[in-house]
Amino acid sequence: MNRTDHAAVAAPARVRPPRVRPSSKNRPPRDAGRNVFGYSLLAPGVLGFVAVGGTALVWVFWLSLHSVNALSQKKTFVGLDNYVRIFHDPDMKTVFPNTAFFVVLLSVLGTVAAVALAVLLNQKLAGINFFRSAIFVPALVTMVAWALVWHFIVQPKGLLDGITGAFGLDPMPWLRGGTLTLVVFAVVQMTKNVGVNVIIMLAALQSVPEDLLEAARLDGAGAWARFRHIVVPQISPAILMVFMLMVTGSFKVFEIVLLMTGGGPGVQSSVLSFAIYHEAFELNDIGYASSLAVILFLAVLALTGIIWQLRKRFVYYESD
Amino acid sequence: MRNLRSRMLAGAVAVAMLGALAACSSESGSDETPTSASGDASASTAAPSGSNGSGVELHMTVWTSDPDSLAMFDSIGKAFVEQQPAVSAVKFDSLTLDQLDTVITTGIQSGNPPDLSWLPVEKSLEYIHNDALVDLAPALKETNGYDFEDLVPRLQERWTVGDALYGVPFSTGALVMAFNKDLYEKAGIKSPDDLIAEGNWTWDSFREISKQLHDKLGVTGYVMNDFDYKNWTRLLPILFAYGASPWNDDATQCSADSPEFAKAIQLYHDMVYTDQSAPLPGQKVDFWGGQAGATTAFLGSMNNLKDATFKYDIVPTPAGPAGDTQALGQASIVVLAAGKNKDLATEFLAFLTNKANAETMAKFYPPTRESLLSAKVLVGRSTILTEDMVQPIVDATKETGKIFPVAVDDAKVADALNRSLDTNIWKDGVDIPDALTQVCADVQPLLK
Repeated sequence: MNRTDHAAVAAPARVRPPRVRPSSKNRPPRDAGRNVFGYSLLAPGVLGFVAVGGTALVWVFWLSLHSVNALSQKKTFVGLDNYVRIFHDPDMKTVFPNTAFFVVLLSVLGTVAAVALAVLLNQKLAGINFFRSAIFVPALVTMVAWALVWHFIVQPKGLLDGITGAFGLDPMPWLRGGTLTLVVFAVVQMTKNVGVNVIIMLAALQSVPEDLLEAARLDGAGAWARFRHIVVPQISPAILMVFMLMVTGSFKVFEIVLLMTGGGPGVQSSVLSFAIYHEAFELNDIGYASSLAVILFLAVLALTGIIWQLRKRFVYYESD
Repeated sequence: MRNLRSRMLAGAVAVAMLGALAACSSESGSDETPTSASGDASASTAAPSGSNGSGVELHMTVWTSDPDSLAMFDSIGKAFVEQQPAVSAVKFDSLTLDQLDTVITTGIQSGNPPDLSWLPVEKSLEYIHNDALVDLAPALKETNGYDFEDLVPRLQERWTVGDALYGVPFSTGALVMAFNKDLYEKAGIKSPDDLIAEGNWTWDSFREISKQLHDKLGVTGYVMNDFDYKNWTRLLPILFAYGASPWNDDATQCSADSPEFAKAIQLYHDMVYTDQSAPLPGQKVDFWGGQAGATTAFLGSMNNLKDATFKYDIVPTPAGPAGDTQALGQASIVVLAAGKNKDLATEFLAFLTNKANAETMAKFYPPTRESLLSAKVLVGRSTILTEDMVQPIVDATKETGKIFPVAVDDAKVADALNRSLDTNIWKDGVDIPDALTQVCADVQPLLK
């Protein structure tokens, strides 16, 4: 079944007569009243966003053009020096690749895990609600507690070393930087929040029309074919949403880094959001931290925009 | 449907913006021109007169959450309010030491810093050089009955510039060693008490009994309290015993590549990787819970022993090639120059650190007043400490005590040192002298 077929099945063409919008002068007073009411409902959110988000964004950009001494309250305009410094900062040669690796790993791993677990939990079995609840429980735990538990698991001579040791393996430097530590971070973060994404996926799975699956069964499609050609296209808007949330969320992760390694050894397990925190609040280098924050914002914005454009190729039934 | 798409797009953009802003939400406006902290006295002197009747609420940050300690501060605060009608209340905001810098700098930037704070000695030069602290000497000298001369001059050095005094040390805490007597008895080996009695209380002999403890019982022999391989100051008992320091006296030249520094680091490195009697990086070991034979910690941290289920003793830290030394941490009470009520805050500081209140605080914090620096005062009503335990530590503080080295740009220097040690030293199979050359290469550019 190709994409056109899906569209034909799921969204039969409906011919609508062209709507003629009355000009504002001719618009009935009732419509104008509705618009005012609508805008007034939107106003708190928009004003809040402008006041908090927009102002902060402009201010962070402004700070990024300054050298700021938080203690002496001195602020000196330095133009783009902070941005130039990023390219010469040896730490960033580790931090940026770490961030890219972590974002890709966590986004893909988190999305695939959410789909897989949702499929498992979408079975009609006795007691399935218990498992649906259980998978959500870690999302209710604070990150500090979650990281503490995981720290005891992955610390040297900890539970995980005990398990690998039982299989004759040497202890692994789980928290001593490099790819292995980033993988540990991704697993800790993913297991913490996967429940939220599973709920989204589960809702999408339960809205897949049963008659489509039944029709495919009658046509002789196996379980994998039904999943690949019917379920995945049907839940693709939800997959897109979860993936975008994972991408933006992975850029922001810094609590785990702070709690488990502090970015160390050196900066070997640091990522961009943690580097921003470190520069701003531990080294008091607010101007430089702001320039990193602007880079982070642009990276998230660009990646979100790219994914949003690519959705046209991968997402079906978006308008449903 | 188009609306749905627009909403999703708007939501995505909002999420993206919040992501970037999350790490930088504390900034707020300040003037383009530098503000001379010390030159802004007029703003603060207006506060008391303008506040008469309405009452000013003073805020002080402290890094203790001990209820007894906080109750003591509240009681002193209430006593001050009773004698100073311009102050309606003194609030003590409790936080952890690692939050302190963030809270103060964020407060300064947002125009709402605490009026007073505890400040560790490591931060002294950095805050003084940035005009972030108020000179307290004139006010303290003019305060009736303060007895300024009673403050031990040697213990004020880090806070003194010429005639100016930027902080009153309220606690000069010795890094001492506590050990678990039960574990040593169970292993049937010499304890630190035995080594002291033999006159053989050195880091080498301590390393040996720590190894024996680990070999016989499988427990960690020695864990440094609050170290976690991220706080180089906790290495100072070993470094001082070997005559080592990461930089010279005026903090202009890195000396972490000196032979003395290498020997001191080699000793601890061997305990970790050769003897396995000290925890690996990232490994959590809790001495207070009975998981290790010994720890070095501040005298004030010994309150953690009140719930100990084992017998313990407290002794000075071992000696080394440089002889007996006593590493001293220090914390002062300071008035922030960016505060809105500097005069009232200074007045409260004078009240808080006068002789009577210093004696009250001595129950929790080793004082820096000559008249109070005695084992009897330090022990007070403690159920943990005894005068026999504390007297050698008081003697060491007076005779061989060395306060932590301090650099001007402490935040960056300490960060560079911690990170470089973590990267280059704290791993197996390292050539220590070679690795320390790299440590100095990392730290030297930040020393001024």
